[in-house]
Amino acid sequence: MEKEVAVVGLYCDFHGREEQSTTNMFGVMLKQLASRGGIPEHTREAFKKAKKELGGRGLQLQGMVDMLKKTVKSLSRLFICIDALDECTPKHRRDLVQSLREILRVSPGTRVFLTGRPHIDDEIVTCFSKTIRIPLSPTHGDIMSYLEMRLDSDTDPKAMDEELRSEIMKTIPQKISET
Amino acid sequence: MSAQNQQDTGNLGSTSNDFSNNTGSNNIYGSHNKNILSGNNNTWSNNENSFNNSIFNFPAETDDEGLQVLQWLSPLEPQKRHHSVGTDRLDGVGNWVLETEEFRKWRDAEDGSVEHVLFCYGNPGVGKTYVRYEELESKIAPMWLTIGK
Repeated sequence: MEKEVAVVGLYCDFHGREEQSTTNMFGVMLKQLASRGGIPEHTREAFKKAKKELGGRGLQLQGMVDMLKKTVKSLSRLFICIDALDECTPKHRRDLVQSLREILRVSPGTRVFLTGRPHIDDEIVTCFSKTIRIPLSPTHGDIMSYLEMRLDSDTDPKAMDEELRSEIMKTIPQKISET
Repeated sequence: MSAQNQQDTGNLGSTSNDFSNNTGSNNIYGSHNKNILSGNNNTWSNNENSFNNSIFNFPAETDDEGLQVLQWLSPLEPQKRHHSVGTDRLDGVGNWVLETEEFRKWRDAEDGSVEHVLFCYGNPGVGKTYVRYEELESKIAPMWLTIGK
């Protein structure tokens, strides 16, 4: 049987901090994989067991991580993408990073893609010493096309004339490049 | 939503929800929410049970127990945020990241010379969320599905 490639991903958010426990994050990755490729038998069994023994409560973090480890075995590549890692609580972040490390250890086909603000850089590098890092900032082209789109979707186009338009197109990119 | 966070999601996103006038051949963010990968190539749709919908459009499970299992796994619903990022996103923004040496190394390296972790960092508003979206859906996955087999 050919092995598949899968992508899972989630967004961290300041406003869902409590709900976004590491356990729930791993759970949602499993949920995405299961929705896509079917629920693995081991997951169904874990569910039945939890229903009987735990009154249907969810698993602890390690239980989730173990299930993910089993699931990745059937994939040739798994991409895990997590946006705004800085927005989850420091504790959840630490747990998350450590659990990701555990997955990577057993699954060389897994790739992890993270985004976050610069202040968590140290934490990431401490845990993954050979992390590949890319500093992001919008390119001149990104800024220009964004400005054009915004000007074109102006709800009151009469308020705009060519002079103002070209001034906006010149000044804003200039200001951004100075910061 | 905090002001800071709003800035984070707003700066490089569009305010319009309708990209139908902008749709290039590679634009996978059509307002009609079609198969997100069908515009790119057909690899995914050859794959029987899986990619008729976005990975975020779950659940595909329909039996009662299946739905219960999914619910039991996690209460989180990232597909909601994912959908709004998709509709707010300006096509092409941040694509330069995909051309970088770092990105390719992360995607391709097999020998353990680099960590299999890629960290894109930047201050609020630079477009981190939007870069990632592009990669997630249009670049990485079809590529690996083709090469990885």
